Amino acid sequence: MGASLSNLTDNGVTMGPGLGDIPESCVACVFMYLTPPEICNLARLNRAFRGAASSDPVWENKLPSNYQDLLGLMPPERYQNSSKKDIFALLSRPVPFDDGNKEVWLDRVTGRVCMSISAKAMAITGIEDRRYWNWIPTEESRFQVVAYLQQIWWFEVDGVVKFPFPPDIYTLSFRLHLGRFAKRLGRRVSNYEHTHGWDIKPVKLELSTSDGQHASSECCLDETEQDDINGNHKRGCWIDYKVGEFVVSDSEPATEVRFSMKQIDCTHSKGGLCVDSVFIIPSNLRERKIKGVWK
Amino acid sequence: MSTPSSSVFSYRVLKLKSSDGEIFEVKQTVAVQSGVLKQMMEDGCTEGEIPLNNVDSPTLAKIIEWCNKHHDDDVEGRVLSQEKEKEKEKADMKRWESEFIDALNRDELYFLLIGSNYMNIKELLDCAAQKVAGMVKGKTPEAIREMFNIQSDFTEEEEKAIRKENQWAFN
Repeated sequence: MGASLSNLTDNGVTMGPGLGDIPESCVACVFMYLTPPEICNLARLNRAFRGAASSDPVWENKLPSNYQDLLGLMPPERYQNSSKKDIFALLSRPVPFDDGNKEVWLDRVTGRVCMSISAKAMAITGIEDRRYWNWIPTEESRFQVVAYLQQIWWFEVDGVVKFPFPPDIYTLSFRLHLGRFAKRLGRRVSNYEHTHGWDIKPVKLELSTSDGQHASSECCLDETEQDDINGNHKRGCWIDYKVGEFVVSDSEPATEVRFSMKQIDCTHSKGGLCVDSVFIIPSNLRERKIKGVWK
Repeated sequence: MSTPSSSVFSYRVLKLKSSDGEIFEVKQTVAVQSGVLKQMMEDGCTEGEIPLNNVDSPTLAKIIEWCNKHHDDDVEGRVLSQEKEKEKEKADMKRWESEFIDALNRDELYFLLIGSNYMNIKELLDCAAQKVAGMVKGKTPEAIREMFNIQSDFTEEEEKAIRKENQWAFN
């Protein structure tokens, strides 16, 4: 402790103290105020920093209080005898559950819990009839497959997830793509031959939780032709359509969240839409790109 | 006999000796904020001078200034009836703390961090640690090395291993 050789220049002149002499326990205190990427960055400084950057108390502080619930989704041999840092690293990669159709992970910067639910895990009206819906394999989905709607009158997608979310405010959104996409000669192209009906009436998005919270929003998924002069911003790209927010105050008991997306005015048909997944992400998690236009 | 236990120490004074030999007299009620001194009081071994070999006199003076300020805030019997008043006191204290920390130069901050860690004064340690964290945030390891005069003590191979074990955080 105190002055050390690192304070001596080549001439032997003392330069005053530097953080190089700092005890590991002090570094650990500093790390309480830094994010995981910052801590991993500082591990390169010297041995005291590296030691503190691997210490359990530092990483326990970054993990959600109920991280054991997330570990419970994995076989124990994957995390037994792991340090808390290794557990954080493990959980910052997507952990699949419910037959691999849902994934949960920790945001690397904040340690907050994020989730994604594949269309595969949702109840989609008419999904078994190939005249209406098809499954399209694609790398553009984290689940490697999306549901493509060709044409239908009763458009309804429902889902549910029960999970011990840690206390936080969460935003639930649907990830949708208007038009069908494909790779042609290495270029991504979208095709709108089936895309119709979404500019007539809005789609209704809803969520409810087991403790009685409700949220809903409405949104036209397509733009009317008059707006087309400036280009159509709702076609040919993935858009997160925000349904609403819900609040979790305790991870026990587990929160059940139901969500749905409907356009059931059967006077007109609609089609040409890809449904990928639902995201449940802590609200204001950095500047997540939610491009959705919700009215 | 409903007095809080700390008042037993009220009128007694500890003699703290800094690494450069200066003696500081501190009331026990103030000194109790240091986990180390509190333990010594409980063990009844605070007679005579207490040597603090890792804390020099300018740092010890700063530490005592902090403890006095935080002790004042805790004066027994003072009841703040209004929530608003409490909020204001809290805000005033926060402001005092940040001014106290911001007024330190890099060396003073470093010694304060070491000293508060050594004496186990949690609030002060947290405050100093937060300040240091703010200084290193967003900087490259090279910039921090230069800023704080830190030499790498790794071999090339170790450095490679460290990069590898932390890669996950940057993808």
